[in-house]
Amino acid sequence: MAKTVIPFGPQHPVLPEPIQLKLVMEDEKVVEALPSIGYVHRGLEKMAELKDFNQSVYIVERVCGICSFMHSMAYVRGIENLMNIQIPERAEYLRVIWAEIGRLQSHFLWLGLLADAFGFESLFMETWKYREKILDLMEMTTGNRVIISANKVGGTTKDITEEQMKIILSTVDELEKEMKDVEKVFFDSYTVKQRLVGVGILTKQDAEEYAVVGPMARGSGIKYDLRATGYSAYKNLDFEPVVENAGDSYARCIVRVKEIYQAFDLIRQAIAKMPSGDIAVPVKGFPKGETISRLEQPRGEAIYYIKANGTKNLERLKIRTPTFANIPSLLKMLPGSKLQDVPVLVLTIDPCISCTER
Amino acid sequence: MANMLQLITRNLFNKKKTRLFPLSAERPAFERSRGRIVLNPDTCILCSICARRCPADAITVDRKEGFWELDAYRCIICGECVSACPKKSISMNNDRRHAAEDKEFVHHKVEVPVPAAKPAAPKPAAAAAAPASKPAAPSPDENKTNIPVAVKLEEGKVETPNPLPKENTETA
Repeated sequence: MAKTVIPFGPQHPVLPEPIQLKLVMEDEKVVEALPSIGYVHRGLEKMAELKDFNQSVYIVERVCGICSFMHSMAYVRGIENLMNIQIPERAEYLRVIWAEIGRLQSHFLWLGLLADAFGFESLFMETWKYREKILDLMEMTTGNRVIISANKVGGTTKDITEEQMKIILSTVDELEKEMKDVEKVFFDSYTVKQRLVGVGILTKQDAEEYAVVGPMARGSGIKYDLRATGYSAYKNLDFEPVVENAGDSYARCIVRVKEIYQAFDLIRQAIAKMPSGDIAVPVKGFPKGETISRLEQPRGEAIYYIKANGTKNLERLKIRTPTFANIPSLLKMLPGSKLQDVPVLVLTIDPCISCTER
Repeated sequence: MANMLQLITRNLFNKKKTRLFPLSAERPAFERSRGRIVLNPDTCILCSICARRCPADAITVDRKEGFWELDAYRCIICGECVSACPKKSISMNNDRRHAAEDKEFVHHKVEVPVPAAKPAAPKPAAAAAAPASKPAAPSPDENKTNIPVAVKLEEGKVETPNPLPKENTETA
């Protein structure tokens, strides 16, 4: 059988961002996949070295449009670690609330995109309808829909008032009720199951060898969630990482749906335990030394390496984003799959290419 | 099948979730929504702290010429300048910003009483910040200064500068 090479991307209807996969095909079957990235490199790491370390918060937020809050959270946690700043307890809880709201909107976005990838347009519109409510919460509390700029070194720039917390709680209750309808479709619909069950199986052993992170790892049975290490205010909140053992696309979908419920729960807990007090402490001096800051983003574990030399500019900022860790597993899953499953498989790793290339 | 029919009928008679925007009313902006950066030129002392704190280098402050300028194309509406201003003369409102038609500069002439402002605004700081915070050189034809906010404030103090070559070369 002669082999054919099909270029998949960088422009493709299913891809929100540019990545190219050269698919070596034998009939309808993928034999090999060769990725090429580098279409959206923006040089943000270098730019962060040229700016004041306080201003870099706004740069790292723009690494990713979806998990923007958590990027800035990882960065400021690193800087606070270097400068030995103890931020107020309230700021920790506020950060957790915004981080979980960010996780909600990212997972809703992903569910919509997945539905779009297997051609279920109305489900896509339905999930994005709910996402809009979450974006409204972000705009209500911080003023922006996605890049919310609520973090600064030493705390947060905005506070959530009592009335806003009530609105958040009522929206969460409302969404939880509505999510039950969508959940039924994702879990039980014949159409969805046909496209997801048994597609792109990544066994637990493979997942460990390829060092996948986030919902990918948890979908393959690895109980690995950095929030369980108890950074920020997570140490005071009660939750259990969601783990599914099947390792196929369906399991990854279930993990994300369940994590949506988990995020609802964490927001409720954080609001219930919210202490009163300041939201920020004044910061004096410049950071010195090097540190690593990690946290769990919607897509998985992000690692920030910060090296500072005691001046206002950082010496080096290195960001390892979750998609970078997950792309190798995609190359493991693709060979052997059918061409029509490629969009779904590419989507299940939740690719964020602008994150990966920064 | 019965389930589907139920869904279809429900969707047919449900209220729409989207708005026909130009025909129907806009959703009112939230209180905290980020709109425009507004300067009150009466209290501004041209200290240029805002220009130094701006992560996007959008603000130009020139003490010599006596103006404060915001390049709305570079501004990321983060609010750093609002919190940095020692005189609380910069504020942010929640006006919804529509797509711009022209390259837009918010330009204010600020008259600073020179002896009074000297201790509050050290000159070397202003001079040091000025070269770092230059906006991209505007060519004369694209620099149509369109200042809705500035004009609204006060006719006497705030001037709408015509794209005169002198000021443009100063900012560029």
